[in-house]
Amino acid sequence: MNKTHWLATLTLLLFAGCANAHEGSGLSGGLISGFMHPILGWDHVAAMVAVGLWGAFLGGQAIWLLPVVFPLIMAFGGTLGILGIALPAVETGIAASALVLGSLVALAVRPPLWVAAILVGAFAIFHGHAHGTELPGAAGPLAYSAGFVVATGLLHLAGISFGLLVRWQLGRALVRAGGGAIALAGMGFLTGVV
Amino acid sequence: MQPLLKLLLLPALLLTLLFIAPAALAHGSLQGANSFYSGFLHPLLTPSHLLLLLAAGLLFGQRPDHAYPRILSTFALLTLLGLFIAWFSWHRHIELLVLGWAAVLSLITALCPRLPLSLRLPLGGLAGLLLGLDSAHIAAETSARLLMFLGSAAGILFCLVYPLAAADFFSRYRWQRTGTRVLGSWIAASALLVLALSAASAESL
Repeated sequence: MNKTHWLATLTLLLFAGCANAHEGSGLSGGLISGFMHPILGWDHVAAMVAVGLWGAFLGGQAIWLLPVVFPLIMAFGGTLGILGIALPAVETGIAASALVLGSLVALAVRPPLWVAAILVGAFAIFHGHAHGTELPGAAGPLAYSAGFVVATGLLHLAGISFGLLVRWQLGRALVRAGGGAIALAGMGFLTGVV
Repeated sequence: MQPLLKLLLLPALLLTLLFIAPAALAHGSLQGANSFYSGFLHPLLTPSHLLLLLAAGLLFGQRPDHAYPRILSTFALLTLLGLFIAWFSWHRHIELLVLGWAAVLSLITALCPRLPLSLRLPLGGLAGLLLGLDSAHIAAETSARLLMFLGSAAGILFCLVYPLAAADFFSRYRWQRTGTRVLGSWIAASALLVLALSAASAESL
């Protein structure tokens, strides 16, 4: 690391002090609660990782298109939630997203890119709606929305990182097994077992 | 990283250390320095401004094309123009435009990474104008107010350098460019959600 990098790191450490000065209120409170919202919901976690996993599995443009499409369409779903527009069976849609996306990875389904984008986008509406209904009550709405968007993206990244194992034969088997595990979890969410 | 960015990044970091360090916030060593600090910190402490600056920085730095002097000077001029207009009048709904433009720029970053400079320059420059317009300050003395405005201009410009430099630095490999596009989608999603919330709040009043 050169001097500029060290100076940048020191500057970031200074900001860390300010971030710790307040707890659970305002900007930091909204950011943290927004960040934790997808992470504390296993159904969200499973589906987000599945999106990244499927993107990496499909490869090519899908590796960036799916993680870009998802938060944008999620924002649309969030808007519906904020405006109080009811969406039927939101929790069912969220659980189904884990089941469907996990199954697609497990069965090594490779649809055209536009089909994959539409499928991911359709499920993103449900996830966004669930986050959006809680946004008006958040301490700092912009920080809350940034928090859950970042958490969602990081979960995608986790899926993508795992999905990159497909370049090896054993990795492909592991990735498909991972998809199967997510699909099973989705089944559990749907039936209420998990 | 481009030489100009390297040249700007170090003073930007040093000034940030100087103004952000708690000891420096406690007392101003120069008369009226607190006014300048307030102005300088304004974009840092306004989430919507940070979002637009991040979006503009990513848009400019996503495709390094050795035009940073032109980019920074255009952005600075438009920021100063916005601040000049804000000196005389300010509208409370400008923040909505700031959020909306953050969404637009970040959508472009996510979906159109190869946009030419001839388009990126005015699109990103408009961000400076909006930030200036939304940086109206009220102070009893004209000199204090002027220092606040100058501080805001400096703060806005220095805040732009960070995401610009980061996007430029992380443009070498395909996975890095992909990350920039994904980050753009995150910013757009956040901005759109808060805009929806603002619209919902306005309807309920």
